[in-house]
Amino acid sequence: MEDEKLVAWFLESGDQAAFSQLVERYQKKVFRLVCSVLGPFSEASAEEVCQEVFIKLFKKVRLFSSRSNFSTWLYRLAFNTALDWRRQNRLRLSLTSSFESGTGEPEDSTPNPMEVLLGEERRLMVLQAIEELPEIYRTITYLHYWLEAPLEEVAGQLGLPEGTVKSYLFRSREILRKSLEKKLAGTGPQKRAKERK
Amino acid sequence: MMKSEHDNLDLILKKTLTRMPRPELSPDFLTSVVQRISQEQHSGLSSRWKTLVQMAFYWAAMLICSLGLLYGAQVNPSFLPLVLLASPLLFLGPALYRRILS
Repeated sequence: MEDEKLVAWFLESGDQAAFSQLVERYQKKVFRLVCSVLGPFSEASAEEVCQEVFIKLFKKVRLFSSRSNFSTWLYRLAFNTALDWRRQNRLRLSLTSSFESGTGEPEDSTPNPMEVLLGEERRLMVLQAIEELPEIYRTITYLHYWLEAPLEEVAGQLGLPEGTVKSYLFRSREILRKSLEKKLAGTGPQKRAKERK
Repeated sequence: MMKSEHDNLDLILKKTLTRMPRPELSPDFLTSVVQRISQEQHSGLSSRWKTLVQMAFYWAAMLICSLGLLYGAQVNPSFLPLVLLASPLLFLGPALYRRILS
């Protein structure tokens, strides 16, 4: 059954089964969107925020106008809820926990500890730079690179044309490049030598 | 930006982020959502009653105070209907306004 018909059925009858079907249909996609807004450092709260999205849906579904697309409306609700949560909770980069639980494996069979340390330092720098990106760029970056969503899915979830998503990704990489250049200049060998003096 | 730089950054981002743990939705997600909704429905009803009782109390207090003031200051009794009209608006107005906004 189409989403809009399911919504109409739920509104007419108040049948929980209709609502449950909507949740089952969209839970994974909404969860991915919420995760991409919150980032990889708040895994524990992503499910909580996702629950909040569906509770809001239950309360506000009457406001949905069937002239628009239900999925777009729901994704917008999810995006705004996650963004509010992120702003209220001021996420910190709990990088230690992410490294401890990281699934990454050493690239070399006999890694040099110094190289590993430098690699981790660089990785930390990249993650910090992503966290500093403007909201929409950060969300697109996480959706595409972290959750490996194809551009078509990213566009659908954010209600943007695919071309816009492409240009946002390009712009995001540009901002990241500038930010990383600054960060690397600040921690380069010359700066370290200066600090030692 | 040069093409190679663009590709490098693409690779760096892929390498960095694919190593981060990916969250999974718990299998009983739907059950928890349904449970939370029914909980909120119950608490919502009781909190609505609580708000209503509180508002009635404040309104009554306001009305008594206004009437007391009118009596004490010996104001023209033609102001009485104005007080009776204004007092519910003073207390219910902000609450209604908040309700409309939310």
